[in-house]
Amino acid sequence: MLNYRFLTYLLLLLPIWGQGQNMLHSIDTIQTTLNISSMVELYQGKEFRWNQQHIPKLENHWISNPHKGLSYEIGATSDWIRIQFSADNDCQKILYFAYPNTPIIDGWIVDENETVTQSFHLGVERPFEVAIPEIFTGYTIKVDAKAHETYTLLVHFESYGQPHHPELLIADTMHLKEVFFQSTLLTTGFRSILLSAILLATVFGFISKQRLFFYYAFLFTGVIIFSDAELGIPRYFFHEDPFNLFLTLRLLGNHMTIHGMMLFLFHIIKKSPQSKFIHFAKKLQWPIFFLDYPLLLLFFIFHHEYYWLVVSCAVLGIAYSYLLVYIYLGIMLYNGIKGHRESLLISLIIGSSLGIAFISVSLPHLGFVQREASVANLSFYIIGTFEAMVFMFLLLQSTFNSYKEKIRLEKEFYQLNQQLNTALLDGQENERNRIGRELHDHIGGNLAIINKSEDILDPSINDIVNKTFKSVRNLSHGLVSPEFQEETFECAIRDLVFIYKHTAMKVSVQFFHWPENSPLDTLQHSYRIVQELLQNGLKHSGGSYIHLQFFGGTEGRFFYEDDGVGFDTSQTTEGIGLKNIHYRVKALGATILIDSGKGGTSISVEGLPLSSEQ
Amino acid sequence: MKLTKKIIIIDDHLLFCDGLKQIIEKTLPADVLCINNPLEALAIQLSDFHLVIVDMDMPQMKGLEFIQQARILFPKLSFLIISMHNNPSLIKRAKDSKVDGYLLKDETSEVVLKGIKTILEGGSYYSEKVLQLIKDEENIPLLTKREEEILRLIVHGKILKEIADELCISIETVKTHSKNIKTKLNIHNKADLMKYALDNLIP
Repeated sequence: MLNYRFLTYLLLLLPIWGQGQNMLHSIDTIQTTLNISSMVELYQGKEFRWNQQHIPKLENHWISNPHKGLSYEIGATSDWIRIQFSADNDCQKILYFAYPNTPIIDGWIVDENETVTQSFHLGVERPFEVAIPEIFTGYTIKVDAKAHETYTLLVHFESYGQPHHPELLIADTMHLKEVFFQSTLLTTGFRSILLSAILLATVFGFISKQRLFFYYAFLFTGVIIFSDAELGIPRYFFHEDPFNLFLTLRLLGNHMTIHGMMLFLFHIIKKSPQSKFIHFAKKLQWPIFFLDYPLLLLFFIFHHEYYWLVVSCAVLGIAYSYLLVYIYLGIMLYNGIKGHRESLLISLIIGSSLGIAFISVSLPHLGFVQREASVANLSFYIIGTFEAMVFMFLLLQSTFNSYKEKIRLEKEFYQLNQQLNTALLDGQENERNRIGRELHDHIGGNLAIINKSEDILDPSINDIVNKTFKSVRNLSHGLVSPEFQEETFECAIRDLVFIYKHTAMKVSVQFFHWPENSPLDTLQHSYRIVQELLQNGLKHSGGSYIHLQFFGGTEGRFFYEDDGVGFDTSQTTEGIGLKNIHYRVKALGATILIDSGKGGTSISVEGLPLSSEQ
Repeated sequence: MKLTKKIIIIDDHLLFCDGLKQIIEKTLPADVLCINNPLEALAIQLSDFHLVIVDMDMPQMKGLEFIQQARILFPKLSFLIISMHNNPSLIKRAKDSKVDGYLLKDETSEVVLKGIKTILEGGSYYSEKVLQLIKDEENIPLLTKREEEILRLIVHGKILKEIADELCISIETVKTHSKNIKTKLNIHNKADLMKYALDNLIP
């Protein structure tokens, strides 16, 4: 039953027109809930006075409601309404003013003899004494009607110039309770969804450090505040000056919603081609923020009677923000049409929720449809939840995408870095080889032949040339890298160590399961690292031995060890040698562990990409 | 040595070639031809020569490679390598491929001439210097002193931290050492490690 009405209402399948009569007959036959807002007569007279019993005396100047729709009904053009009703049998029905925030509602029921049979004094500024206390979203009064008697209901509203739409319904008690129960259930459901979404967004915001999530939470917190204020919930908790509280909260909710929306949209479109305008517009956002909320506070403190404050708030906060939101939406839709999928989606969603808002707010106001009591107060929650869900989906999607993008970039950066390392090392290698060959082939060769020349008579010159020759040879050996296609790595290392044979340190080498058919890169880099380590060890350690071990097998690694004085590994400035070693280790994707101190220096390079076969 | 011997020098380095040619021709009754490119040399009727002197390191072709190819064409040639390379591994390779002689470029002229003469007379000649280089390296024990020390401490029941403190090294290094020891000894548990220590009388 409820769902059926709900659908009719949402999809506008059947616009329900008001009955257009001013007399309610046979109210004893009403078994459901009937909205009689459009059936009331409006008072057009200028003055009224109270009689001795404090009952109003009005001129006989009533007109039937010329228009249908909330905007022309109760509280819109007249503060006084009346409606006549009769019953065929004795009965008791419930009169329901379906709006909780009207400040004052005074009513009288008068019989044919002009005797007041019943009077009531309700409104947010009065104690909450109603017929059905569990219905807190409006005011319920029991109406007793005797058979064949005609009664007139006379109601006066006071709202201090604020708009209010206290729809009037007449209902069967049980039915109204049932409708309200269902509506409360739905409201609670929607509110829980919204609150969870806000909580989720806040948590995600903290985790992912994305502001968009906070804007989202801000926006929908606004929606909840606004909706709850409309449902009269704050009055439950705060009894002091409830009308003022309601007005403030409604404004606050409204402002938060539109500001949240503004920031949310801005964040999405800030990188779009129109960014020049957007950033200009953004400069004006912050003044609004810093003026708006203090104004709201002032409004709360100084009460609603200071109407200029309300006007300032509305103009400053709402109007400008709405303007920006619409401009942003326009940009977004434009980008969406140009092919940005996300923008199109968001603009369509906001568009559709505006559509729903139009249906649920504007159409009843204009009188095209009549609001159902069961969904009237729900509409804000329906729109809010709809938007919240879709936005959340988009947010999570974009976060996921940007996370993927981040990982991709990191990977790319790592690869580029690797490439850079390789290029640097390759360049260095080539240059070393070139210089080494030059030294070896030409300078060395020349020195060798000069020394054999008989023209040199002085043996001391021979000696000098000989020494020079030797150092050139050693230098060139150090520079030219071995070609591992022709020479085994083990031989190359043993040759390398051999150069240091006659130094103060004893250098020894051991190989265990070392696979010679390993990638050339690995061998080349390992060779250079070992060379660097040997040079450093001999030059700086001052120890008595260096021991090198190479391990193949499942864990390719090598291990350097000396008993020298060690060096400070925490030193921030590494020498070129050590830096080179680190480059090479990185290029191999290996790890290096340096332990240096009193116990000598040990360096292990692990995770070498070796061939698994031996 | 009354007959004039024909010798060819294959070395990319011109000055060296000419110098050596002069030294040889001054002393020996020999005809020396210099070729700077080993590839060109392969196109010559090398069997005319009594001795081929080759450099080890030439841009077009390595010395040993040249010898290998020349031997396929002319199996009975004699080769003498005169090179700057004093790598033991290279010299061993030359010896393994039965090259008749190996000299270093910084040998004295006398040594070079002695080598040439020896080979021309049908012998082989590896200079003192070269032989010194390929003297077998001394055998080093399987475990280093440091490793024995660590093994001893492990066997004595010391934990990693205590070993690290005692030897003034980091725990990570102790771990690396023990991993190395296990790899070397092909041992994967502590019991076998103890057994090894006892068997090898590590105190």
